[in-house]
Amino acid sequence: MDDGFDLEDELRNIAHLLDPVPPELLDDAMQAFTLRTLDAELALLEFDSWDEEPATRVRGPASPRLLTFRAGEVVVELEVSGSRLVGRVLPGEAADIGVQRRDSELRLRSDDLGRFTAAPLPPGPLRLRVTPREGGPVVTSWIRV
Amino acid sequence: MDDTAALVRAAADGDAGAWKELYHRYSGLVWAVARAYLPTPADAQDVAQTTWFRFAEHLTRIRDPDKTGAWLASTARNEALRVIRTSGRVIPVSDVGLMGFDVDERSPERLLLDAEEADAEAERAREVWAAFEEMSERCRRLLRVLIASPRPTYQEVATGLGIAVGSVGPMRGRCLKRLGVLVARRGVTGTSRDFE
Repeated sequence: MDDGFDLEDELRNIAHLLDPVPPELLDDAMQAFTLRTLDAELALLEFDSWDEEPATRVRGPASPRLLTFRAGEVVVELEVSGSRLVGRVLPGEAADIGVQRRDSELRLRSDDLGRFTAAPLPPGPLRLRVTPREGGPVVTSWIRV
Repeated sequence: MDDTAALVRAAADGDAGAWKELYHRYSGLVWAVARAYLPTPADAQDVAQTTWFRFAEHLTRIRDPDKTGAWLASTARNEALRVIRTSGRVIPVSDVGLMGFDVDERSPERLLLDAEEADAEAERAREVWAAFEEMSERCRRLLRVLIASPRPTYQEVATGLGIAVGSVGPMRGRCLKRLGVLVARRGVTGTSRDFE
């Protein structure tokens, strides 16, 4: 009885030729491993306005992307519009912020209300490392901008 | 002999070799899920990249390491849906260029024979792929994930597509049968075994 295994295998071979896994992804994955956080609490993504928008709406500078991350008492709110990032850390107080990318980290300090901005942001993975005045450091989950 | 859980534990403890092994085991699945949803390779690459970054940060937090493949498939699916929801653009699959077949220091006669064989194989590959792309979205998605290399489990396929695991087998049967009909209709010669 033919269960289609020949055809399935053939299609698998063709996909391997015509639609292979891009080789650069291995470098990305190895980098992700190198950058994994060992010493900070992970602030998970709780809200992403990209999850809410209707399919008809076109992404663009007109509609900034809003994101919320939380780790315990620490909340990080972000607004990404174009290549500009505006953020706020709660509880609102001065905190050290690292804007981490694949190959670089921009260090800055929030104002007394926990607010900060960063620009320009080239496309790619991004996360924030936040060191509040009290308590240990927190890193957000990776997002892509 | 599923040692995925052991690899996850080793990677979480800092073993880069274990991480690389996990990558080789699941990169095909992650890519296939992304491509099942996204016709533009650049979008799929973004999704796959984000999925691997997420997995790295979750290494020590994965509740059930035996279900790593399903976790990755589900993460890739969610990221792909996020792209679809926000981009408002779903572009038809473009023609994919066929890769050249390497020929080297063989006799001219041999080279000619090989080239003719390669042409026939390439022709069949093109036709089979065209038939695949002609299929309904349901079948295309299912088969694209199923033909990841190495072959995913039905549970991983189901999670990557957000469908019940029990429906994978029957859908696979129907879709492959349909593909066979489409391939035959194209009058392609050769059998699956001719293609290597």
